[in-house]
Parts: sequence; C-alpha cells; structure tokens
Amino acid sequence: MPETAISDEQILGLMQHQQTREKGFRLLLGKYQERLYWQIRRMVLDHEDANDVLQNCMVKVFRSIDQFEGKSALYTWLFRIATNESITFLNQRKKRGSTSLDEEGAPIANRLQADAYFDGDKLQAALHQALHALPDKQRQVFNLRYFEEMSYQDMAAVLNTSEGALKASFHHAVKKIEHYFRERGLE
Amino acid sequence: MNEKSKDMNPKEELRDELRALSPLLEQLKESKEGFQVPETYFQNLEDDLMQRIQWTPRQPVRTPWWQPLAAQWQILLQPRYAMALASILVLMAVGGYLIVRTAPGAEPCQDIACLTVEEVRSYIETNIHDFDTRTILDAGGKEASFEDVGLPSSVFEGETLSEDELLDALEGLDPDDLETLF
Repeated sequence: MPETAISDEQILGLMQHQQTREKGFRLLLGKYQERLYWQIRRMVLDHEDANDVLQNCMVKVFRSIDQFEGKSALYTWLFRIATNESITFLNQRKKRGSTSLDEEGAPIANRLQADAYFDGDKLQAALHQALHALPDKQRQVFNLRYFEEMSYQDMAAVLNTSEGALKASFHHAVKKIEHYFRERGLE
Repeated sequence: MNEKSKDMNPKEELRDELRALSPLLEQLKESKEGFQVPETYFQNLEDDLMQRIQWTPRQPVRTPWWQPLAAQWQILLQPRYAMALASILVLMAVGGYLIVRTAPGAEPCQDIACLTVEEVRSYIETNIHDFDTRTILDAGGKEASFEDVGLPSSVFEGETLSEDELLDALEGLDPDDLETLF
C-alpha cells in the first residue's frame, strides 16, 4: 500500500501499541517527512540545520504521540511541532550570534549560492534573502502559500488564524519582497 | 469566496493571486526553488531516525512535587474563587478573634469595671494602709460616720489628732463597729 494512501487513523492506531509502534512511526515518516523537511528547510535554509531540526522534531513526535488528542489533523500537529522547533533553533542561532549561512556577515544570498545543496539562480537566492528579512510568522504564511500552495482554508486550520488575516499577511509579504527586488534592480 | 474560486484548485488560485499581486513572483514560481538534498537522504532518513530514537535514552518525565499544588492554586486564584476564599478567610479571622477574646484563660480585662467584688475586697484588705479613712468612708456607699464607731468627727474636720489620741480611740472600738465602716 503506498504510504500516502494510509490514513492518519491507521497510523495512530498502530502507534498506540508497543508492538506496532515502530511500524506506525515508519509509516508516519513515509507520509510526512518530506513535507516537514521542506517546511523546516525554508525556515532554516541550510540542509544540515534542517536535518538536525527535523530529527529533533521527529524524536519528539515519537516520544509524545500519546499526547496527541486528535483535536486537529495529524499534519497540523506535526506542522506545529516542526514550526516550534524551527523557531527555537533560529532563536538559539540568533543568541549565539552566528549562523551557518550568514556567519562573517555574508549576505544569505551569497552563502546560498556557495552552498552545495542549493542550485537556484541569482533571483531565487535573492528571494530567500528577502524572505529571511520577514518576521517569522509572515515568512511561514508566505512559505505555506507560495511554496506549498496550500489553500487559505487549510492554512487557517494549521496556523489557527483567520483566512482574512492570512490573506493580508501574504499580501504584505509579497509587497515587501517586491520592494526588496525593486530596490536592488532585480525586476 | 466566489463561485469561480470554489472551482479552482489551490495551485490555480495561487497563480491568479500572484498574477494580480506580483507578476515577478509568478514568474519566479515557474523556475525551480533551488534547494537540494543529498542523494538518498529521504530513503535513509527513516533508518537514521529509528537508530537515533533507540539510542537516545528516554527522558523520564519528572513532575515536581509542588506542581499539583501549584495547579490547585491556579484554580483558587481565579477571581470568583479568590473572592470566595478571601471572604472565608475574613470570616474565620473575625470569628477566631471573638472566640479567643471570650475564651477561659484569655488575657484579663484591663477595665476596673471587670473586677469582681471579691477581687476589690481582697485588694482593699491587702492595701488598707494606702487609703485614708475618708476615702474608705466615701467608698462605702452608706452614710457611716466616725461617731457611729466612736471616733470624734473633728478628726477629719481640720483638727489634727495626735497619734496617742488616735490609738486610744481605736483601742476603744468594738471590732464589729469597725466593720460597719466598710
């Protein structure tokens, strides 16, 4: 059975029992790991950082699956854990005063272009540079809408925010990014 | 949401939104994002994670002893419970004060009105020499006179009585008569 065809209820059912817990967790990973990875990667940018954050996040999911009460969709719960882990990581990195991508004060765009796991063009690098300047919440909204192509309805469930507020946030983010490009003559 | 957007999938909806908002971002969306992952990263991720989970000791969840109490206090600190609790405490304080005030063994009353007759009598008998006779007569509450007990009234009317005269007069007194002075 393809992993995406497995329902969340089946996965949770398997994870409730000690004997089938690992099997259930592997199915959960198969279904959601890529989506969560990209969500984290767009927040932290660097692959190694994204891998660390994703692994921490999934260990927490495995350990605390009993606390999932089913009040929201499983992906919503996973998304929130991943978002919290990403923000915690970014805050710790800010406190340390350096990042693996912008240490020595180099612009993110330059560092990205030198990154072995980034092969986007100058405009894509500039887009990530512009995104990095957005507030965390606004960046999340932009990522979900622009890269994951999520509907506002689904975003409202995941981010626990009204659709109107999300639309406004996305529009603001787009305008800021446009401004960033215009200022640098990248149109 | 209008009928047209209801029929569109999120991808089409986003494209239309971007076309209206920012043609540049719409154009950028067509090119690849640029992020890559090492080959077989996702294939190995499952095993890497399972290995990590097995080797990472599970952190025991320790609940500090005070946490349940703190949770209870949180409930009591809600305004309606806090008001009720405060009222109970005030009532208890007032009630406690009243009980202690009237309880046996409580601190004696400092007011002279609280003294019993026995206490007054005992005090006077002990300190009889501290009172002058006129005060004793006045406090007696009856119209006793020195003549009643065989003493000349001139004693307390400006004429002084020598010590010998006083002793003689006292010796002539009947003890029962002397008691009537009090």
